[in-house]
Amino acid sequence: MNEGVSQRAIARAFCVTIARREAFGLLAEHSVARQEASTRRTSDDTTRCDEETLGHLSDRLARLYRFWLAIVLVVLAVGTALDLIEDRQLETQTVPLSGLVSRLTAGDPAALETAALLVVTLGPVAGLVLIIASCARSGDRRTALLAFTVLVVVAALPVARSFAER
Amino acid sequence: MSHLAELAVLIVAALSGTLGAMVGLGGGVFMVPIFSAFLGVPIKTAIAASALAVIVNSLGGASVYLKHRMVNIRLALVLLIATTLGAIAGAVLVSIAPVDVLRLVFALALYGMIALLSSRRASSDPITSGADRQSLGGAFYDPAAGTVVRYIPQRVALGTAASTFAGFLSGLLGVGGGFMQVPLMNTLMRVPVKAAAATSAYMIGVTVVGSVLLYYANDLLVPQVAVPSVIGVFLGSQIGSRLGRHVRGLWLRRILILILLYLATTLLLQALGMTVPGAR
Repeated sequence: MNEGVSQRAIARAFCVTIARREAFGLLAEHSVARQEASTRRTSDDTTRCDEETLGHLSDRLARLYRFWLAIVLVVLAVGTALDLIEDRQLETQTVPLSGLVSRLTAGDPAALETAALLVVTLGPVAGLVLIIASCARSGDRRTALLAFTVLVVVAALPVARSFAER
Repeated sequence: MSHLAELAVLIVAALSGTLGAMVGLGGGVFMVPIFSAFLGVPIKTAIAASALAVIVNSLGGASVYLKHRMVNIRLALVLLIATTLGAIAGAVLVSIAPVDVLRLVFALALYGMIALLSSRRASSDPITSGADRQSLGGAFYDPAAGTVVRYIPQRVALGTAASTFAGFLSGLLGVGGGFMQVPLMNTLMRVPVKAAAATSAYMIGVTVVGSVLLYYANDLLVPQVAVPSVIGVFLGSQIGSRLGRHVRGLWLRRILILILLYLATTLLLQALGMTVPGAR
């Protein structure tokens, strides 16, 4: 009788051990699966976050460009209208940078046209500055550095051209 | 310059802006020859006005493409560095370079690109899986296809090197590099043609800023030509970028091939010593 009880106890202990092992195995598998899912989710989130950040940057750039163009077109329209009223034809020369501010304050149409042309030229530079500022703020140093390098290289191009022309 | 000629400048600029914004070019390839050969504008004034118009085209076109998230900003920045470095080298070496030989090389390179653009490879589906080590992948909604198109640019190092070479040649020959970027991105890097056109539309504005400031400093910006060019190109870029989103990629490629054919033939004729009206 005692022998039967001990055999049953051994069998129960064996079953418990197996069950525990299974449970641990399942737990371990579950844990691995959860870790994998978490990694997957983190990676997806990073991509999505990256896409979202770049999407917001695109929106901001689009707004800046539209705003920039609107200002230029208004100034250009006013300058052109004043110019046509004054002598019925558009200017044949731009105003040099040295006299631009004084002639602008005097309401000179040629100065208004020149200012509009100069402001539109600086539009892409303003875009690069926006990218640098936005990316630096959001911690995307790589894109900020890329945009900064573009700014430096673009500034170097006219310098190289003027050297070559000499 | 008569008011009629100014109106003609505005109309030519508007048409150039429409075509340019559709395929990601500045439009200077049309404006300079037409202004100088048919409207009596001195060539240097025409080049200065068209460079300014390229910026307006870029701002106007890219604002639409950016709003619809079609511009790949990171890829644009990488290629901009490469192209501009090449252009600096080209500008420095311009006095010692055999220009006619380079024109011939450029023309042959363009014919090669036309062949690649005409091949089935250019119209094949973009690559969406695999490693994106430089995080340059992009996605945009294509209204013509009615789906979101995802892509991962391929052969980035080779594409960047080719971009540097394109910038070098454009710096030597004094032509804009926009028309090289779209076929490079499309055929070599497997970027869908619409994303390539949108990214190029953003890039072209940045590349010519320095040149325009130089033209202004040298008194080559003439408001009589520049003002109607700016207004015309602005209107054209608004139409072109909207058309570019809705036209099928195949048609964009066909338009691009025609433009490249015209450019390659112009360069080839110049290399052979023939005079082309309005050519630089």
